[in-house]
Amino acid sequence: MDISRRKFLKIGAAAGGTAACAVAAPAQARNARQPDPQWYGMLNDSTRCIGCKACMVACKKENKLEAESTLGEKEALGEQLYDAPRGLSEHTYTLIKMHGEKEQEKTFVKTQCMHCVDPACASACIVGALKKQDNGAVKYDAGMCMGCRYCMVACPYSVPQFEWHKAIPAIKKCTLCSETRLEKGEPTACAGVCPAGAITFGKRTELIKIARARIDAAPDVYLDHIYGEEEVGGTGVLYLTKKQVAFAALGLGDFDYKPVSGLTESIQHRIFQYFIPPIAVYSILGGIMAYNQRRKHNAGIEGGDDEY
Amino acid sequence: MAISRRKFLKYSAGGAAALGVNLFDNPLLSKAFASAVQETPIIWLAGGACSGCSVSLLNALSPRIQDVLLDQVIPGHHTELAFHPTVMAASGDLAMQAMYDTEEKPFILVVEGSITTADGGRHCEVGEKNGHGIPVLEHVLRLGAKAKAVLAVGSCASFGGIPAANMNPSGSKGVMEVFREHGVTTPTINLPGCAIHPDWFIGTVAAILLGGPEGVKLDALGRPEMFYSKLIHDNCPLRGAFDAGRFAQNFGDAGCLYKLGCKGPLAHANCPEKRFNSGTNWCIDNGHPCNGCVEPEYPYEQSMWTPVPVKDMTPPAAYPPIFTDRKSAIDVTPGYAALAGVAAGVVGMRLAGKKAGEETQAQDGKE
Amino acid sequence: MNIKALPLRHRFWTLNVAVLLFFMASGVVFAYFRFFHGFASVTNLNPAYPFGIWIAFDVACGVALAAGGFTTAAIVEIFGRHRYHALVRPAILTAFIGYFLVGLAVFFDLGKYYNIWHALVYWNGTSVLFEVAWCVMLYLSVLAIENLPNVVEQFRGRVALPGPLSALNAPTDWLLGKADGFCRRTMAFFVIAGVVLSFGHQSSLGTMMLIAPYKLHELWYTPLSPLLFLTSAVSVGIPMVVFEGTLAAKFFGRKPETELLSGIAKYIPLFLGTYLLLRLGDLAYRGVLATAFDGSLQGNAFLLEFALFAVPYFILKRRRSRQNPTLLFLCSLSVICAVVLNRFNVFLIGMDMGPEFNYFPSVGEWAITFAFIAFGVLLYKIGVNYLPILEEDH
Repeated sequence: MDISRRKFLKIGAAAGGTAACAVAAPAQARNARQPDPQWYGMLNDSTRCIGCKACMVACKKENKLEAESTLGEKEALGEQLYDAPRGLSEHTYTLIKMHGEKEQEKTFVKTQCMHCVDPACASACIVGALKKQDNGAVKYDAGMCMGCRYCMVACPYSVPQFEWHKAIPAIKKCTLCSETRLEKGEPTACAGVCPAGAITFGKRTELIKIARARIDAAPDVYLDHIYGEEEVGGTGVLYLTKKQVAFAALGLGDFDYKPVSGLTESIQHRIFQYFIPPIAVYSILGGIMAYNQRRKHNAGIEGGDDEY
Repeated sequence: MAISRRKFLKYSAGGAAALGVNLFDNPLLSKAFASAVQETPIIWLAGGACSGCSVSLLNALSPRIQDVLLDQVIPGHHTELAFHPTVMAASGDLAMQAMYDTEEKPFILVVEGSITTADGGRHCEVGEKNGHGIPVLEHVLRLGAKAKAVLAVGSCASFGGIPAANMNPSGSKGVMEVFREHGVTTPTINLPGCAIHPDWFIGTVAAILLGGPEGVKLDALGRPEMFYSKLIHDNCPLRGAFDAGRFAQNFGDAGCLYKLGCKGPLAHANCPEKRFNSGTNWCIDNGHPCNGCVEPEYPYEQSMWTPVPVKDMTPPAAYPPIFTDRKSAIDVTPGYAALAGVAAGVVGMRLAGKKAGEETQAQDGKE
Repeated sequence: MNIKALPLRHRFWTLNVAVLLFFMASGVVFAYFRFFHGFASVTNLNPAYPFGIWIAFDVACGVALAAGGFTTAAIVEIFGRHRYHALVRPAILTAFIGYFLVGLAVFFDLGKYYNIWHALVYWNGTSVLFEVAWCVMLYLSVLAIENLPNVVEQFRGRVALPGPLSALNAPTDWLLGKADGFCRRTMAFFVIAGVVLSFGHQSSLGTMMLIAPYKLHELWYTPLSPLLFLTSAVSVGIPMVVFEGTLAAKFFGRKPETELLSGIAKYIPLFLGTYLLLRLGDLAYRGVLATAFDGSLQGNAFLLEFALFAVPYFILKRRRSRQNPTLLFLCSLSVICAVVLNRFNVFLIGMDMGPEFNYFPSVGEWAITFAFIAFGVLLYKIGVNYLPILEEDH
C-alpha cells in the first residue's frame, strides 16, 4: 500500500471521527451502588427454621414447577414419589439444606437467589436480560436472553440454573414472586407460608433493623453478623445463623464486601472510556505505517500496482 | 278477677308443669305439627348393584337407620322410603305400583348400582311389562326426569364402578353419564364409595332437604365437597412412614402401604376422620391399602395392589446436605479411542505418502 | 519484487478430504441432538460448569490462534517488513476462517441461538462479553474485506457463473470492480482497524473470567489478565504462521518457505519474552508463585503451561535454532499448545466451581470441536485451491 502523509491524515481523521461517533453504551462509572430504600428482601433466620420445607412446596406451587427426585425411588419402586432436589435447578427455585448431619443439633438453611444490591449477573449479561427491578427483585427476561450462560459464571453463589434438557433453554431462578405477589402487595409465597417465622419478608432496610434487634436481644443464640448486609456489595436476601455455626458451613461463602463486577467494569471503563485508548492505538499504528511507507518510498522500493 | 295476660300465661305454664304435661309429645300437638313437617318420598332404584351400599346404610348407628326412615331426618323433614327392592315389604306388582304412585309426587331418586346399557339394557331389569322385564335404563331416565334430585349412591352408580371394569360386557355406566347422553338435566350428586359411608348419604340427604340440591357444593366430579375434598394421603397416619421411605413389603409389615398398591395419594374422602362402623376402623388402620374406591378409575385397570403415580409430590423427610457430591465418573475411553484413531491415521498417511512419493517421483508434487 | 500468488488448482477430492468430511458428518449428527434435544443429550455441561470446551477451545483458543492474521499484517503492512509479504494472504485467510468458526461455535453454544442478533440491538455496556461479541463481529467484517482482494484478483474480468446465472456475469464483474476500487482506497484503514479490534477482543477475553474472583485460581486471577491475553495472542501469531505454513507445504506438496519462516521467527522471542516477563512479574508481585508448586491440578497445569512458553523462548533466541525447520516447527507447536493450555486453564481447569460437580468433555463435544476444525481445514483447502493465496514456488 502506498499512502502519502496526506492520505494517511485523511484516513486517520475519518477513522477517528467514526470511532468517536460510534455510539456504544458508555462505560459506566464504578461507584459502589447504594441500596434503594424501596427495595424488598427477605430475612432467612437459620435459628428459627425447623426444616418443614413448606416454603419449598409453596414455591413449587406458586411457580408451577415440577417435582424432581434424587432419591432413586423411581428405579426402586417404579414411580417417582418425592420432590427431593439436592441443589437449585431448573425445577427448584428454593431449597432447604441441612447442616450438621453428624451432630446432635441440625441447622437448616434456605438457598435461593440472593437478589443482590449490585448483581454480578446483571453486569455480566450481554443483552441485559437480568435487571434489578424497582421492587428489589432481580428479574430475568427470557425473551431477551441468548442463553450464553455468562451469568452462571458471574454469580458468586452459582444461582442461575440452565435448562439443559430443553431444545430451547432458558435460565431459571427465584423471582422474589415479583409479578405474582409483590405487585399485589403480598409477601413472597415462601415467606407467607413459613410456620416458624424463619422467613421474614419486608423492605431490606427494615429487615436489617429487625436482624440487628434479634442479635442484640439474644447474643448467646445468634452469631453477631448479618450475612448479606455488605457481602458482594450487599444482597437482598439476608441470613442469620446460630452462634456455633459459621455462614461458610451453611454454604454462604466468605466473600469480600466489594461487588464482584467492580473489577471487570473498571477495566472496561479504563479501556473504553470515550474510546480514547483505541483511537490512540489506532493513531500510533497509523503513524508507524505512514513512516514505514515513506521510508520505503525514499529507498526507491516500489510496490506493484496490484499491491494492496 | 281481672288478671293480666302475663299473669294468665304464667298460671297456665305453671299448671301444665305441675301436671307433668309434655307440651311437645302431646299427641294433639304432634298432629298439629305433623302437618307442618315436609314429607319427601325416596325411590331407591337398584341397577347393576350388589346392595352393599344399602347394607352399609342399614348398619348406620348415629343416626340409626330406623331413625332416618321412621323419624325426622332433620327437624321438620321426614323421608319415606317408598320403594327399595331389597328392604321393602311388598314384592311383584304391588312393589312396582308403589314406585308408579310415588313418582307422581315430588320425590328424590336414589340410584344404587350401575346403569347397564348394552344390548338394549337387557342385563338389568326391574319389574315387568307385557311379559318382558323393564330395563333399569328406562326407569332411570323416566324417574330421573321427574325427580327433584338424583343421588348416585356408590361407585357403580357414580362412575360405573365394578361392573364397568375391564371389557364392560354389560355396558355399565354411571348415572351422570347416562343423563348426559340422554339430555336429562335433573341435578345429580355423586356419592362414590364401595361401599359408601352411611354419613355421606344421610348428610347429603339432609343438605338437600334443607337447601335443595343446589345448596350442596360439588367438586369437579360431582361429589359433595364436605365429604370428598380431603386427600387421604394428606391425612393418613402412615404419612410419616411414606415421607421417611419406610414401606411395607408384605401384608402385615409395618410402614406405609404404598408399595402394596395404596391409592391414598389419589383418593379424596374423609375416611381417616370418620372411619367406618361408627368410627370403629378403616382400611389403612386395618393394614390394607386404600382401594381408591371414591375415584372414577376404581376398580383400577391394574390389580388392586399395583402402586399408582403420586400426583402432588412433596419433599421427603430426609434433607440434602450443604454440598452433595454430584460428580460423574469420567470416562476417558472415547479419548483413548480418538487418540488411537489419530495415531493410526498418521501412520497410515505416512505409509500412503511414501508409496505415493515413490510412484509420483517423476511428476510434480500433487496429491 | 516479483510476487505473484496463484490458486493451486490441485485435485480436490482426495483421501484427506474424505477424512475431513467424515469428521464433519459426525459433527452434523451431534449437532442434530444439540439443537433438537438440548444440551444434556450431547454435552457434559452442568450447573457448576456452564462453559465447556466449546467456549474454552472453540471460542477462546479459536480467537487466540487466529491471531496470526493481525500480527502478520502488522509486521508486514504497518511495520513495513515486506520481505514476508508471501505470508500475509495465507495468514489473513486463516484468520478469517478461524473467526468464522468462532462465530459458528458461539452459535452452537448459545442456548437461544436465534436471539444472537440481540447483541446488535440490546446493549449492556458493563458486560465484558458484550464487548467481545462486538469486536469479534466487527473484526470478522474487516477480515472479510481484507480477503476481498483475493476474490477480486481471481475473478475480475473472468466472471463465468454456471448455467442460468451467467446472465449476472456483467453485474458481478461490475461489483467486483467497485470492490476493487474500494479496497485500494481503504485497505490501510482496515488493516489498522483490524489490529486495533484484535487488541480489543483478545484482551477482553482475558477480562472475561475476572468477574468470578471466588472461582478463578489466583495463579490466573490478575487485573493484568487482559494484557497477558493480548501479549500471548501476539506471541502465538507467528508460531501459527510457521505451523500452518509448514503443514500446508507438506500437504500440498510444495517447497517449505524455510527462509521466510526462519526470518519472521526472529520476532517470536521478542513477543514471547515480553509475555514471560509480564507473567512472572505479575506472579511475583502478587506473591502467588509458590502455589504453582503445591502439586494440585491447577499448580501442575500452570507449570506445564509456563514450560511450554519458556522453553521455545530460550531455544528460538538462537539464530541457528530458528533456521532448523524441524526445531522451529516443534517450538511453534509448543507455543501453540501453551496458549491453548493457558486458555483452558483460565476458562476451565483453573476454575474452582465448588465441590459438587466435575466436568470432562463428552464425545459429542469432542466430535463437534473436531468437526469445526475439519471444516476450517477444508475451507482453507478450498481457499488456497481456488483463490490466489499461496505464492508460486520460485
